[in-house]
Amino acid sequence: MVQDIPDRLPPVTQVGIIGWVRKNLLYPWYNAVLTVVSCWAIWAAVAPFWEWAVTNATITLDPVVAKEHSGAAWGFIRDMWPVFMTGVYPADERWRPLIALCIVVILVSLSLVSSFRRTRWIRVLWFVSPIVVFALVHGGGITGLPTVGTHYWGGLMLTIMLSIVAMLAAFPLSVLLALGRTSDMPIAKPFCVAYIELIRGVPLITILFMASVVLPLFLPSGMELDKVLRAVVGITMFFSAYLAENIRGGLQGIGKGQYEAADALGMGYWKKTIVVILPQALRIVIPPMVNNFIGILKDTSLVGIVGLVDLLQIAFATTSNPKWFGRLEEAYVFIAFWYWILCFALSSYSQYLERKMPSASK
Amino acid sequence: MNSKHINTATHLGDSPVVIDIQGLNKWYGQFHVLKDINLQIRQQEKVVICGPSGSGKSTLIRTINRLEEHQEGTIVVDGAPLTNDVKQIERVRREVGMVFQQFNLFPHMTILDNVISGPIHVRNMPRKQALELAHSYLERVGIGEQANKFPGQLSGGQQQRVAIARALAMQPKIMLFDEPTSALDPEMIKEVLDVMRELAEQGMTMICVTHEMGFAREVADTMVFMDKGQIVEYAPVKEFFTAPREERSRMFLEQILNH
Repeated sequence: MVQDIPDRLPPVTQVGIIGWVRKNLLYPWYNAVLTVVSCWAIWAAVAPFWEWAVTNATITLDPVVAKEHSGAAWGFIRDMWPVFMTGVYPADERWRPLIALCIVVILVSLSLVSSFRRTRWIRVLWFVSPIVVFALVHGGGITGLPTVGTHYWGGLMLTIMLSIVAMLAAFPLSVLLALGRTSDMPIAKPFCVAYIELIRGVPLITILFMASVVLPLFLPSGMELDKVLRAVVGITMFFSAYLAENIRGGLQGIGKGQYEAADALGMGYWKKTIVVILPQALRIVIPPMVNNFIGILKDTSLVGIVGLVDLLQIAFATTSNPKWFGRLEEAYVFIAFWYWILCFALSSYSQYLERKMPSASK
Repeated sequence: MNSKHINTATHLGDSPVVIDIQGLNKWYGQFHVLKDINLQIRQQEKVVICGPSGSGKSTLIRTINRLEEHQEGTIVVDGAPLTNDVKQIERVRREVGMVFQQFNLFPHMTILDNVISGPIHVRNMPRKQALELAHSYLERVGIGEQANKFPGQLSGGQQQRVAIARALAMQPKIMLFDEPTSALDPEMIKEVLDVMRELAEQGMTMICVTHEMGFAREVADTMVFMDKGQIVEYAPVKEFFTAPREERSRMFLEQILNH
């Protein structure tokens, strides 16, 4: 009779931190050399930056005193940060974008709470809050608040608004484009193919110019489209083409069996698409989709070309102000920090989503 | 041999014909996959289709719910002829359940959501009623406790039983089985066949493409043997296994029974 062999633990191969360091950093000899060279390179890059940003820096609000320091004058950011946040938005009304920001933050946080995400309320809120935010920031009309036209909007506020609206608008549009392109409908398919190929073939700058310079030529005189709206439309059109191609990739990753199973149950095209195909396809394309969203966020910095004052343009505007003239390094570091925070948040959210959603594999 | 077949399931002699296939021909491009198929299937009849691979048996079963289009002939399912009319096709599909070789469960949904997907999204059944229905079918196929798992967490045999429950939850009049045990490990084949056997006992009209000859001999009323796109032999199950008329059927049986 054969005896059962008892389970035992695997052999110990790595002993503590020293073992790890030895195995990964110092062995064999060329890894040890690489480790030393890398450490030196990191030091060479970080040390001068640290000296400039911390050791020799000052936070004084007086530009004359700041000139005596060889390092960064963070007082410039302290002095100007409301302008970085909201641009030339009237100072007395800045509480309005602040509340709008709170609304967005609360909405996003609520969406992350899983018990709340499945309720109908969250969908209602997602539909209502953009209107509320717009009414609050723009004012006028029934709100009873003084109107602040879009030409006063700027800074980080404008960057975030442009990005969110463009993302929210480009997503459904791109799903339709991808479905159209993968369908065999006689008119919709060539239209979607033509749209995607045309838009992907030109730079975003061209589209922004078209939207701001050429489009008004076709409008009847006296009718004028809002500058911010034109930029949003341009960005949305551009990114929906890219997003559509990513989503199409996801659609092609769904096996024939899934379509057949839905067909065999008697589902029509839209039921099949919404219930069976899209949830799986979108799960597959979360990483490239978020890549696109990050692209949207950063490429909103091109709207400066058509006269909008986004976060990047604020950096130029504040540093040409005689008071803090030429403090470009501080401005660049500051706005880079904000772009990074936003992009990293998007990226982290996508990784959370990927872990959360049941895998589409098998 | 391709003259009209006389339905030989004598104990079902006067039950109505629910599937009527006449002069069916189908091509994939230039390739003639189905040739002059005539087949009538009566209510409650169990038909097993067998034959070598590439003989067109899966294609035939897939034309019955229009997963495959045909170019010639007529297929009338439950009184509705299959044409390009999408609404008509969806109506037929609601009454015809299908089980696939590769299960084809929806991997992003729980077992329970898989089973209620048909009743809710196709039959527009209230969720509560659909859940009751789903639970009862999951019990019936012996998967009751796994309702909240995802398909990937189940064995092949369990997944296939869920697929059967999903098809049954639409309360179909006819069930099609396209090689339901061919992708399963040997020890899981029995659990799926048991579910199918029980279904047969309850009087479901069933058409199975399968190589499980033991199952066929026990459950089928009628055997259809196909080769090279045509029906070579159509016979009552006893006759087919004891005294096949055609040489090709005899050879196929010898190969499959003596391996």
